[in-house]
Order: sequence, then C-alpha cells, then structure tokens
Amino acid sequence: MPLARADLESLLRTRRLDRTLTTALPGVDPRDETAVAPSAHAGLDAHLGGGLPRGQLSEVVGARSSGRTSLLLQLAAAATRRGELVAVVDALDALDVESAAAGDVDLTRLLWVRGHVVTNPGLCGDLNQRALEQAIRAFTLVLQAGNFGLVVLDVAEAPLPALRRLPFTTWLRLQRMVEGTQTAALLVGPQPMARSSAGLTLQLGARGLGVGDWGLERSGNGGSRNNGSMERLGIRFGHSLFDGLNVEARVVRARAREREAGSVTLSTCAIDCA
Amino acid sequence: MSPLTPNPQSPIPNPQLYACIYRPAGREENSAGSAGSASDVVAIASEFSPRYECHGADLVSIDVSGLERLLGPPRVIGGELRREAAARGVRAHIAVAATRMAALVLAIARPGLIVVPRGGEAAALAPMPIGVLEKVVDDDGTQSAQSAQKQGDHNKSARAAVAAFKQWGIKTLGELAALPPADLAARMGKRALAWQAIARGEDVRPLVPTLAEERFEATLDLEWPIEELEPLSFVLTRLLEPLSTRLERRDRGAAVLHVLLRLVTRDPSGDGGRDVCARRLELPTPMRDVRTLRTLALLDLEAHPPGAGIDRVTIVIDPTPGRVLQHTLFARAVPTPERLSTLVARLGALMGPDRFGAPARVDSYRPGAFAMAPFAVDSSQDSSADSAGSASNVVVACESRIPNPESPLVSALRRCRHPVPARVAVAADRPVRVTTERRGFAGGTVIRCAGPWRTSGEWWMNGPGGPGGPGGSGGPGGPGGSGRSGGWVGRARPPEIIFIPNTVAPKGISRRPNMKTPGSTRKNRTPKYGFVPARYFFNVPKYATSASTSSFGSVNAFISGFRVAFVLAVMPFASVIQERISSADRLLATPSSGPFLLPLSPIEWQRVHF
Repeated sequence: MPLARADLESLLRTRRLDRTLTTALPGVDPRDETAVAPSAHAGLDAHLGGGLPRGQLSEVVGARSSGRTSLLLQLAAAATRRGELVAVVDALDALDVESAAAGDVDLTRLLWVRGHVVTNPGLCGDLNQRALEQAIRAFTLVLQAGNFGLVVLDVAEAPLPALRRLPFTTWLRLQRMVEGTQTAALLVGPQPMARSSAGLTLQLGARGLGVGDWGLERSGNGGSRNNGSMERLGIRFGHSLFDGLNVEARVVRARAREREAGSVTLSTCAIDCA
Repeated sequence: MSPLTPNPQSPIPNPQLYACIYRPAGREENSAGSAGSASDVVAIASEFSPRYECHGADLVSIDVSGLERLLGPPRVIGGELRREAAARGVRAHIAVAATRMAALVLAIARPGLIVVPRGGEAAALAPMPIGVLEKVVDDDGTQSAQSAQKQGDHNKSARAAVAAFKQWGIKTLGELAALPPADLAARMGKRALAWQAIARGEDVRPLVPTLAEERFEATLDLEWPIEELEPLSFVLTRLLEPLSTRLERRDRGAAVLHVLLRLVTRDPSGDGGRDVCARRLELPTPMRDVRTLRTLALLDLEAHPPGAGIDRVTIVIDPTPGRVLQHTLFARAVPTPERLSTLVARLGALMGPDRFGAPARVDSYRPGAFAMAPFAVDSSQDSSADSAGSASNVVVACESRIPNPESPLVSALRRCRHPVPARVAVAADRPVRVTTERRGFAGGTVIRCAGPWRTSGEWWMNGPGGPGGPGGSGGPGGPGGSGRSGGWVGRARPPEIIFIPNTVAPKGISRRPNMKTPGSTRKNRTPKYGFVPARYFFNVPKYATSASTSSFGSVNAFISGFRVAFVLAVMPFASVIQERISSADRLLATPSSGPFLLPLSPIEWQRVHF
C-alpha cells in the first residue's frame, strides 16, 4: 500500500534523510543577493522569486528566436554590473559580441569559451558530439575554478540527438559541483535537460502563441503578413524593420513552487532601438 | 646571586652598536699598486657581520652588536675594521657609535677612526658642518629601480634644505638640533624633523640588511630516464618545494619559471653535449604555490612534450617581490591568481590558446568583427574600486550602474560564423522563400522583408541618403561580401527570424529560359517561382570552397561515387572470370577455389592430373 506523502516525509525526517525535501529547505529571501542572482528586470525577478538561485543549476529553454540569448545577455549584464565575473561556455561559438556590448555587458568581466564548430560533418556526426563534450569539460573547469558569479553553458544550437546522447548523470555531476557555492550556473538549451530539483527551469516562447505551442498556419503564396499575425508570433515591426520580440517566460520547474504559476512578458528591443 | 639578577661585573654589552665604513671619492691603491673596487667595502663588512646595509658603492653601515664579546670594546672593533681595510688596500673612514645615523654622519665627515661613547652622539655631531647633510643617504635600502629615483629626489631636497639652513645662519648640526621642532616643521615641513633627528644622531629607521643575490635553482639527476609526465610530476614537486620555501623566506614570488630537461639523445658530434628541452613560463602574477607551479609546468609540457627521455631536471625561478594583497570585507570574491592561471592553462590545453578570453570590440565596419583579449582579473583594482575613497563618488558610481528595471531587453543575435548557404526563391525581385540544406536550420516562406540596402562594399562612396542604412547587417545566415542585402523574416516550425545578407541571385540569372511567370499551371512543369538553385551555387565562387560541397551532403554525388565504387569492385570479378575461362584453352592448372584467384603456382595434384 503506497504511503501517503506526509507519512513519507515524516519517515524521512525520522531517519534524518529529509535534507532533500523542498519543504524542509529554508526559504530564500528574494532581496538577498548572496542567495539569488537577480536579472535587473523587475518583472522577471518578481516572477523568479528574486533571480536565479545561487549554488544551483538552472535552465532557460525555448525554441529558436524565443528570446533565450536576449535573456542570457540580460543576466550577464546584471552580473557584471554587480562586479561579478561571468563565464559563457559557447558550445557552438554563436555569441555575438556586438549584441553583448549593446546589452551593457562588461566585456572585460566576461570569459568567453568558444567551442569548435564543424559546419557539415555529414556521416561523421560524432564531431559535434565531441564538441559538446568538450564544452561540458570546459564548463566543469570553470566551475572548479570557482568565484564566478554566473557561469553559462550555451548549447542552444546543439542538435537534439547530440544532447540526448549525453548521459543524464552529466547534469547531476554539474549540479553537485555548483552546490554550496555562490555561483549561479545556467544551462541554455532547446528543451529541459538538467531538471534540477533545486534549480529553476524557465521556458520561453512567443507571447500569445503559448509556450511550446507553435500552431501551424497555412501559408499562401508567401509575402508579407498583417500586423495581427506578427503580433501573434510575438514579433514587432517598425517601419518594415524588425523592432523586437514579445516573449512569454514561464517557470516550469522551481523549488517549492507550483508548476506553471503564471508567466511574465518580456519585451526585447532591437539593437538600434536600445 | 640569582641567575636573573644582572652581574654588574659582567660586561654584558648594550645590544645596539653600529659601525660605518666610508671610502671617500678618489683612487685608492693597495700595497700592490692596484685600485680598490667598490665591492671591497662590502667584503670588509661581510667579514665582521652578516647584518650590513649598503648605502652606495662607498658607504656601508654594519650592525656590530655582539662583537664586543668576541673582539672587545668598540675601539678595538674599530681598530679591527681599519686593519682589515688596510689589508685590502682601502683607505676608509670608520666610525663606531651606538646609533647608526651617528656612525654614518661621523664616517662621512671625519677621516680616520672615530669611536663615540654611548650617549655622546649629539655632542659628537654638534660641531659638524651643516653641509654634511647633503651626503647623508637615508633611503630604505630596497634594491629596486625606484630607489635610484628616490635617491635623486632625496639629494635634491637635501640641497634645498641645506641652502635654507645656511640662509638662516645655521652652520653646524648642533645649531640645527637646538631649533624648536614645531617651528622648524611649520617652516620646512615634516622632512625637517628628520634632518633634525639626523643632526642629533638619532636613528629615523632601523638598519635594513642588504641580502646577497640569491639564485633560485634546483637540479636533480635521475638514475634512469623517464619518458612520461606522471613520474615527472613527482620530480617537479620535489624540486619546487624547497624553492617555494626559499621564496617565502625572502618574500618573493616566481615571475618566470624555467624548466630545463636534459634529454637522452645520441650525441652526433661526440663532444658530450646533449639536447636540452627548455620551457619558459611567464606567470601572470607572482606566485610560489607548489601545486600551481607544478600544474602549469605539466600543462605546458603536455602541450609541448620533449622528444626523448629525460635524465636531468633543472628548475630556475626568476624572483620578483611578492604581491601585497589586502582583503576587504565588501569586495566581491574573485578567483585567486593561482586558480585563474591554472584555469587559463587548462582551457588552453583543452580548447586551444585562441578559443577563450575576454571579447573586445574592434573599430571596424565588418559585421561581427571582434577580438579576443586575455582574460585577467586585477584584484587590486577590484578592491580599490570598492573601497570607500569618497562617499559621493561611490554614490554617483552606483547610480550610474543601476539600469531602468522596466527597460526592455536587447534583442540579441546569434552568429553563424561559418556561412550557411541558403537558396532564395525570388518573385518580382522580392524574396518569397528561403531554404537551406544545412542541418539544424529550417527554411520557409518569407513573411516580411525589407530592403535591399548596401551593408558592405563601397558604402563610403554614397552619401547619407544612399544605401548603408541600419539594420539588416550582422545577422546569421548567408555569406557576407559585396552586393545588395536585406533582412527577411521567415516562417517555419517554429517561427524563426533569420537575417540573410546577400542572398539575392546575381542579375541575369534570375530566370531560366522558357520560364513562365508565377501563377502558371503546374501542367507545364515549370517552377512556380523564378529560382535557379543549381546555377546560383556555381555563380558564387565562395560556395566552391565551402565545406558544404562535401559529397556526403548531396545525394546525387553520393550515388555517382557509389557507381564508381561498383565499377572498381566488378573489375576483379571480371578478371577472375576471364582467367578461369582462358585457363581451359591454355590447359593451365588452376586452383580449385575462387572467386578471387591469386597468381599462385599449381599444386602437385594439379600437376599430375592436368
């Protein structure tokens, strides 16, 4: 007969094995910068409970053009503004320096590790797999050095089969490495991978379209769309030029929180408009 | 008598007794007729005490405390010094006093041997002329490049002070010592109090012993050669530990680490010389941690392995003054220089030396231009930046850093540093569809587009109203280069924003012959849109060198290669068949097994039966 949850928790407390229970963990003060790494965006910080939890492996996931990189640079800028060091392990060498500078990231405090990219491995598909493993090793080295405020592993452009081939213990090992430190580790990818219980998983998507629901539209002969459909895709245009995105961010996994407890809308602005 | 009660009869000396040797300027000759060298003065001092301070090439002050029990009273000590100087052919002024400054001033001012009784320093210096202050050297004794500059500044200030004293009518050190200190400091500054202390024979600072140059080097000869890094690690640890201890005692850090490995190679010349693998590591910051030094050396040797076995290991360290680090409670913790240097070395070994660092913008109009700068953390700047030097400055700095919490995020782009070839379908000079065969990128219908405008190539020739406007450039997608470009938004699953510069087909290649206009019936089997993918690829030379021309990326190329392989496989079969057929005509013996008939000689059975 399965035990009830309360009976199970009391049994764990009796055996002093309750340290992993989220209800047993002390609450996090959202204003305590030693416990969370704020993003300097009031709405997002309120939704995240202060910011990314330090000493945990968090995730920002979403499809391409969902605002992942914009959010990554926002977090990096906030960290460098606080005087912290930031490390970005760019598995497939996709970081744009101009965007980082426009996002007010202090480049002198940014350690950028560029992965090796194989443009068209063909049948040799394991080359990108090796690049991914190399990036994880670099990520491990940076975590071991310690005292970085934010360490990011950017695997957003990595193919999903390569990510799925990574053993699940990889994320557990990284989570163990960052525990007890003041470092906020962040994983940027296409879908949740680490699923850390104490970390935070933030899913991004186009506003109005629903996170993860990309609803196909039948196309005609192509050509331009009206503004209504553009807004539905979360894309803003101004004078026929790209103006920014309207992104919906939702916390899908967090410590001691209800799943899908609301969402927050983030607006991005093109570099020339910033 | 209790052992703790001092015996008045026992000649227990006052612990402070100093002697000073000054060799005045001019050529000195010894008994052999050769001139003495500047090191003679130092050699004389080192004969009597290890605690001596060099104030220059001709002036040394010695701490002779304790020599009274060995040599006798101060006059005897002075006599021994004079005798030693004479034996070396050095004509020197020697003074012995209870304070270092009194001995120094007397040695400069008076020739011969002068011994001052304890407590009589002020009286002995009183009649000295005021001009002797210009020759008094009172630096801190550090042997650094800055000491020469400080010496020059000291001499200049001394001359100015002496000139001022002479104007006031002060001619002797006694008159200077008699001046009220407060009034003197009010007129001459704090430095005048130091002059007054010198005039009274008081020490303004303790003696700082001059230490001989020490070479930090260790060598170990191995009984048998080693060829792997793991045993070398133990050898390096054994050599580095005593060196690190010596560095710590001297308050030094390693600035450069030299690792010399003598290799076990055959000497072609026969003169006994052997190859030496020399590695030089410049450390980012002075350090003496054994573990860190060993790790850096091993990482370097792993990247540059020696070509043969090693039978001798030598480590030489170039010392430098240790870094002074003051921790604060309010500064952010940063990686220590040791950890950072280890991280940099490990990342260099893993990724390559040019694949990590701090990005830096460059002054260039090329989209995506950047440079990689070495990543370094200056902890002194961090601590000084956080120190409360001025409250108002701190407040202003904080205010300028805090952004608007409601401001939108900046739309960041991601770069495809290897160009992604794309096929663009064009209708009425407007792109309508973008497709690519690159894995991970999806094409689709163009929803909105803008342009074209020029983003590269002769942009400077046009005025502000011409091409070269904002946007469009610097995005992922197709190759750069001269030509027209624009930005398009494509729709795919899910919607993606792709900026593709220079994907418009060159002029004259936009239509095939006999191509119908868009909207024609599918029965004619003409493409609905006017795109020529095959010719587009050949018309752009850049694609000819792109990695996407691999045969594995094209089905047709793969099939053609397979046909060639099939032909090559059939050829030996055909030769075997021909051989078997022709062997019957020639009545030649053939092996019984096939299909790959090797040109072997017939066996005995075949020779008998055929």
